[in-house]
Amino acid sequence: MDRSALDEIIVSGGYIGVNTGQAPEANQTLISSDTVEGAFDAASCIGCGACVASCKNGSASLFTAAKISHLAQLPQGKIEHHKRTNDMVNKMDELGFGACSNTGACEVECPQGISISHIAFMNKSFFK
Amino acid sequence: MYFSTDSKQIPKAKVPQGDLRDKWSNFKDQAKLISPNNRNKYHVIIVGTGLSGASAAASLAELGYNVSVFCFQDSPRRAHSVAAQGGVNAMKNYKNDGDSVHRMFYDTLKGGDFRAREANVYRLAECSASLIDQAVAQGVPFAREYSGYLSNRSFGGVQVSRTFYARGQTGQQLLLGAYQAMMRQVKAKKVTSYTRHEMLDLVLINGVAKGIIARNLDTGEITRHTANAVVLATGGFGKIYYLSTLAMGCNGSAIWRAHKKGAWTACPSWTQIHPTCLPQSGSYQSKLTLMSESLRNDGRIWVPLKKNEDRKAVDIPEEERDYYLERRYPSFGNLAPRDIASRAAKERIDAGHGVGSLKNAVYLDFKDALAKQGKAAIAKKYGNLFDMYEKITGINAYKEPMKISPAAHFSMGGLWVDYELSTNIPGLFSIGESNFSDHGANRLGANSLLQACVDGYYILPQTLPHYLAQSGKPETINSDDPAFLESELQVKQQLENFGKINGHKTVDYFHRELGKILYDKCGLTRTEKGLTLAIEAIKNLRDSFYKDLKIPMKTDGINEELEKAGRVADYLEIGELMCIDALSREESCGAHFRMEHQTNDGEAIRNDEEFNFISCWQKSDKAPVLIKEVLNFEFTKPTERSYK
Ligand SMILES: Cc1cc2nc3c(=O)[nH]c(=O)nc-3n(C[C@H](O)[C@H](O)[C@H](O)COP(=O)(O)OP(=O)(O)OC[C@H]3O[C@@H](n4cnc5c(N)ncnc54)[C@H](O)[C@@H]3O)c2cc1C
Ligand code: SF4
Repeated sequence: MDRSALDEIIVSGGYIGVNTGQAPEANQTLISSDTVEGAFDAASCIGCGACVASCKNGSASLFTAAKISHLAQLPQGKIEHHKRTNDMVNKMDELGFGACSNTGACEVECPQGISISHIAFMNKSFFK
Repeated sequence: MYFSTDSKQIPKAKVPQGDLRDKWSNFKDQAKLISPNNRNKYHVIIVGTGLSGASAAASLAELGYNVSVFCFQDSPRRAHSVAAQGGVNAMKNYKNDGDSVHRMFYDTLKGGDFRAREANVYRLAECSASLIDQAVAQGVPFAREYSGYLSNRSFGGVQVSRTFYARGQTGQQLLLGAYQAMMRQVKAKKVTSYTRHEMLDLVLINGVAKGIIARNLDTGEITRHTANAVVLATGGFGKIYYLSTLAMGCNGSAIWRAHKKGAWTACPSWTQIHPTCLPQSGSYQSKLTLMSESLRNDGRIWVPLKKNEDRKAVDIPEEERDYYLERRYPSFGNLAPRDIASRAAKERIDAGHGVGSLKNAVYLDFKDALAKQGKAAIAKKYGNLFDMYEKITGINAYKEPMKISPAAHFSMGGLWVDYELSTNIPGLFSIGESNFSDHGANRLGANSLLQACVDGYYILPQTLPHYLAQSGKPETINSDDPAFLESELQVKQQLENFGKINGHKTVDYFHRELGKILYDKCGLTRTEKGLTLAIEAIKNLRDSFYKDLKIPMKTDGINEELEKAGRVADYLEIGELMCIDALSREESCGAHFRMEHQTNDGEAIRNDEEFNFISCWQKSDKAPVLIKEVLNFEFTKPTERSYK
């Protein structure tokens, strides 16, 4: 599995635009434990690519959606959510990954138990 | 004589003037700057994309410098920092339990047995709070209380709660934050990432670091890369012990090749052996699973009082158990620092009280915590660790104790750096685990993720530009310079020569043998006699390596055996220097325990009169040369490191 394409998807927007030194005091924004745990479920993706390998369409949707969902659930990541989603999804298409047809194979293979509900969330955000 | 001493050379630590609290500000106030529109004329190479390398790359690129990063993995996000589970320390005093920058500084200095530079350690504590802010801003999902505030817990060697954590994935989550920040700079075209590239040499022009030689691990192609400064962020070399918590690829080659070009290696024998790993179960196993140290918050460590006990743990009555850490260290008990906990375990195991099929383990028991706090509370804190333990061993730790054993884990030693994180070679910097700096002779749990991040986010982005500003106009370096061509030729010849040996033994054989020698004679305990034997044994092993190694010939394309050969060839040299380093230091301090220097009840005897220095080793054609950086304790008084 060539994982450099997954890196490219991250390059297109899988981050929060903060420079070193800009950050406010960490407890300034309170985040409920449930919110953080929800974001964590998505953040625990290890970028292994098993989802892509298992998909008959060769889609990287689960990987991409996990990152989008991780960052979108946190208040500090919400601001760039729409631009991030558009950039990452477009990049995924541009790199030639297939479209998701909801077979659910990825979820079964994912070693981190990432749920395909993140893909639905990503699609909803993209079409907005 | 195995080494010589050069007392004329005095390392320049470059510690700024002023009170301990003001030194870092004083440095920043006086550092030379480069104007924003000139920064893109400079190019920096960073080898390593772990926490230290990725954070440095992102931060320097944000400032406007051009950066190339190298890693041997297939993605920068897979650097070994991902493996860290437990947590990261920071002085936030969120618990109101008396924490302060000074206390964190003192804990770290004392934890390292007063064998580190005061000013560096203070700065680590001083910058720690900002790291948590930065990571949270990047989206790192640290654990929170129900109220929404950040949560933390305590780790070995301290009596306050200053460890932040993200389930059992603190390293991975912090690394994703740094990696994503770095990838943002790839998009901005300020960072170029070379994956599956291994640095095989450092190139100096007129004694100044100007680039590296790298090998593409997929194609075998050797390439030259130029820069105005080179940063090594290549992690630890604890894999030299073969049996360790590190993955196979972790190596000492980058720093060793720099050492061969003149960079000093400091205290290479100071290795942390982690007390809570899963015991080895078969002789071909090399990676030992680490169980997070956080388990020691609630687990109690014991061995049977009776030697060669064959009853099951649950059948051994309370009065026949020896809770040896609680017995020997009543005030820290099961949270005694790692070196002490590991040595105490070895002492009991060697005395015949070890448990498990190979009698190489001790028990970590949650019985009392479960009775007191209930299963749900314990599951919330450690559920994933208990699951992992059961998956690997088939044992349910809610019902019977875990079995744990010490394993090599972290290199305190590494390239010597001054306060500015520069090695003694101008233009060559070293950050993260690859340098010797803040941890002294023993590192406290959760301090190394911190050090890697603080080096990369906060220190290097101030000190490296200071160096560039002083080194005159940005120059373009020619990769056809004779220095580059010569380095490249040497690298190619070495690779070809490995293939020509055509002997009978695999690289792994030599690695395993070296690991055994080191673990036995330069591990948890050391003696003059053992070290002398080890030096001879390593020399013989090295001779036989060059006579009897067998690897496939081809130097192009993927050839894992060839990669390993280069790393093990370096290990065979580093291992010898480790033994010489341990032999030269006739005292016990931190992880370095010389059997000749202990009290009647087995505690370390440090010798401040004669050994209050950092050992800097210089390469020479004859025996290695010892240069001493004497430590100045201006603001603290080294005391006996007691955890009783
Ligand atoms: C199992 C485990 C658990 C740990 N848990 C904790 C913890 O809970 N808390 C804590 O504070 N610390 C912990 N540590 C220690 C901590 O993880 C490391 O000290 C820290 O992550 C090191 O970061 P680094 O940036 O220095 O190096 P690394 O993350 O090791 O990265 C090294 C980088 O250098 C590259 N590299 C190396 N050699 C070469 C070469 N020759 N050419 C090109 N690239 C090269 C690699 O590809 C990699 O990108 C743990 C360590 C282990 C092994
Ligand atoms: S399989 Fe799961 S963990 Fe692996 S890349 Fe896909 S989403 Fe991430």
